[in-house]
Amino acid sequence: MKLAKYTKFREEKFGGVLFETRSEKVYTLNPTAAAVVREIGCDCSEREIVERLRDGFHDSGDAIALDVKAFLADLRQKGLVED
Amino acid sequence: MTYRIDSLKAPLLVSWQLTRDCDLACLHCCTDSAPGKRMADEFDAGEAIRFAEQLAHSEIPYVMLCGGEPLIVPHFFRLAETLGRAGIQLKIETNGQTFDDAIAERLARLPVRSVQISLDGATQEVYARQRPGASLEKAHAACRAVRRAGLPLEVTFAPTRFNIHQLEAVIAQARAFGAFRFNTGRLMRIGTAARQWQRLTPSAAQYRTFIATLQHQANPDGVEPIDLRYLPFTIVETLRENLADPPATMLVLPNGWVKVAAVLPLVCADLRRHTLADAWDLYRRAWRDDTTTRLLWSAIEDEARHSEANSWYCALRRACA
Repeated sequence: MKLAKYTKFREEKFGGVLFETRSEKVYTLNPTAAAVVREIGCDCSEREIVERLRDGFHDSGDAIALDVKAFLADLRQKGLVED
Repeated sequence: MTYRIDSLKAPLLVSWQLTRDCDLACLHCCTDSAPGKRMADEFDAGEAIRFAEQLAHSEIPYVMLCGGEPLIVPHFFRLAETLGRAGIQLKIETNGQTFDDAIAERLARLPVRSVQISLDGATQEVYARQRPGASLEKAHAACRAVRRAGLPLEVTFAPTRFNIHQLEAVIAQARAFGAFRFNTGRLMRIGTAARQWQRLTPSAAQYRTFIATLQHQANPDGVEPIDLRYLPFTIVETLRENLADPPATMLVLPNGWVKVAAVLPLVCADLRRHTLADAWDLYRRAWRDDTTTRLLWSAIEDEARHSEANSWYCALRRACA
């Protein structure tokens, strides 16, 4: 998974912004969402991204995995990421 | 009140007018560009490259290179390549008169978000009436070169009394060229267009037909899809939106001055004296300044005031002192 061709990510004090330059839409991200998008930058699979975030947040349950999968599905639906 | 721009560390978009020089003298030009109208104090190549390097180091996601005609600037490719190497997405706005396969192929090596070509008519006669001396065939050839190189194509259409009846035909041409987007809206009363206003401005009835055509053209079945962009339809509507949420867009003039808004004559920074970071700070402060608010309301209430947009001055405390 990676950011779509026309999507740019920038970290900000409040988290980050995703800028889809084709539509010129800007999405504001909180720190947690920005942490997820930072992992997408590594060009890993969705499973690897989820695992890395679970490790990073020391979560042994499903809470983070469910949230991250839902967020990634939302990004995919908006055309902001591609596999 | 806190604006969205207050929390951003840099602009999200920089619209950089590289020159006021142009190979055409279009009647509707909003930047007062024409052959020989290069500003006396435009950035030289070294200054422009240094500014491009600042942009490259400032995490700016997206830069528009426009003019005048940006492709007649001798250091155009040095700028585009400096920005492109930093991963900045580029939009090139051109009239297409000199745009060929060699230019398209060189641009295709960069992260080009789009090349925007103006098609202000569906026939040579109408097109050249608005763009004296221009060749519609050259503009069409430019559209084909953009697509052959695999670059995304945008088309823009400035409606006037001369061409407004050809909207549907121009949209059809844009679709046939494979444009992903078609930009239009009410003619802006700025620059050359302001001086030609009575001659150019379409009637209310023409605009009603124009909008109905745009609504009808929004991707009917059986035709290539295209993103028709015409809202907000007027610059006044845009200004009203900007009052609540100032754009994270920095408008840079050929001499390095930074404008507060396209229709305001107000300058808030000078990139010869200010760093990009300082200019961004001054830009954000400008949106809180009483002078900006007064001028914005004046522009909202009286469209004729837009004609002053290119008479730049700095009336902001601190900014240009």
